[in-house]
Amino acid sequence: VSAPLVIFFILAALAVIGAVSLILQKHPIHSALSLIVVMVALAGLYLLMG
Amino acid sequence: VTALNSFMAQYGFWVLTFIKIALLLVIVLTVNAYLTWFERKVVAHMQSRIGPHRVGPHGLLQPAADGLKFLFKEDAMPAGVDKFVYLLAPFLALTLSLASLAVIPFGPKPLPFPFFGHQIDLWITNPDIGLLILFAVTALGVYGVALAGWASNSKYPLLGGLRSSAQMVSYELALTMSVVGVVLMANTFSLTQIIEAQSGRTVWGILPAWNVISFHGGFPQIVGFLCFFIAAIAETNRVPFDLPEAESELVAGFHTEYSSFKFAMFFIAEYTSMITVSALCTILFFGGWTSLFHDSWPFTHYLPGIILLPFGLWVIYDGLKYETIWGRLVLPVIGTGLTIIGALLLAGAWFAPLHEANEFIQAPFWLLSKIFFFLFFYVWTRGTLPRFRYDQLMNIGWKLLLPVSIANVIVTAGFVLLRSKP
Repeated sequence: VSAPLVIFFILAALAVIGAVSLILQKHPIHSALSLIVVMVALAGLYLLMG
Repeated sequence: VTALNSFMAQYGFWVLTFIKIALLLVIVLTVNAYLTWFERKVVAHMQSRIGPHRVGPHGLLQPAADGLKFLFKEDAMPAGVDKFVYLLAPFLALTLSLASLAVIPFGPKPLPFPFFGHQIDLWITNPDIGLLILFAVTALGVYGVALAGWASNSKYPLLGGLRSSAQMVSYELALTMSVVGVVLMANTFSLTQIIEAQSGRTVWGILPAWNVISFHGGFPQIVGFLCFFIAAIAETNRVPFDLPEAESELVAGFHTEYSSFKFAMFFIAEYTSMITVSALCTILFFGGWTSLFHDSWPFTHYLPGIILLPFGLWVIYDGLKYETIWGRLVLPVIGTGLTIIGALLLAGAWFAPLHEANEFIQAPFWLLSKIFFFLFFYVWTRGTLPRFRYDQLMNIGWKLLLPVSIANVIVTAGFVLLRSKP
């Protein structure tokens, strides 16, 4: 198991969790924060592509 | 031992990176602590006061006392706060400002001894898009302040948070626009390559080819530098742009409701971003680790020793006539240490190993001296300028800095185009 793969799975899990929490949160600010989590995780995924 | 060797051969890079991160963290937090001491001392002397002088000789233990005070204070949480966001905000501010330090290079050459076959470079990571990552991470810093203001469930912090969001969004544009000229001239986003692009000489070899004065491959970035530095002071919420925490209007702005170590985290974040911005000024506009003097002047390589030796002697002299016994004991010991280091560096003129050590510290010496100069500049501005009014702040950001930095980009692009013609 290489390091980029491990980082990929962590970031992917983070993105999915963020996306689910974006829908489930009751408070709009919390939803917005979840959206930021998704975007940061996606930025990390793009960074992994080299 | 063989097991350790094989483990290190495989995972040595990760171990090394963790060690480097831990080391940088310790160093930066210590520097932060003494930066508060330095700032209080300098501002005090500018206002004809003495500044901290009770805790330790010359108040040198004041940061430790402050740190302990922060740790042992009551950790009050106001009623009705959004608990998760309230706790997340200082954490975000601190993490993001510390994370931005990871891409800053401190020297061109790796250490002369490898770590289990791995080269020890003077940076944690050196990506090709270092500058982009730096701006991306520092731009996220606004979340810390804005969320702190919102989550505190109080009027003044909310207004401070709103002001800070507006201010940071406005100045972020000018900040990023002003470095485009540098990127055009260096033709890269990598911080090490930007420094290497400035390593030549200009004006018949008299001056270093730093971006701020050099015509190499473009146009002098003096205007870009001024825009960058003004926008950077605004980004770090320092005087004269500290409207988010204007105490005469907003009590303490976004961190009014934060006490104890959560307040300290905002404090550390602010000082860390000061260090990052100073390092960025140095790297982008003032040639990073390149020397002010020509390479053919080898005697300038003894500058660290020439500075340290008299400074150490002065600390001994000053310590011997200090008021308290504790100071008379400690200050001469520190002074002797500095004197010995300075003498060893000067002795590099005769002894080969010391000579190599002296050569090795040249690049970090120049980088850190320039960073120190910009940190002093920050404190100097704080001691000099009054706070801007809010409409003045917005006028400077949108009507002055942004057009000027865009004009700078256009002029630089034109010169780069002229130079690149075959």
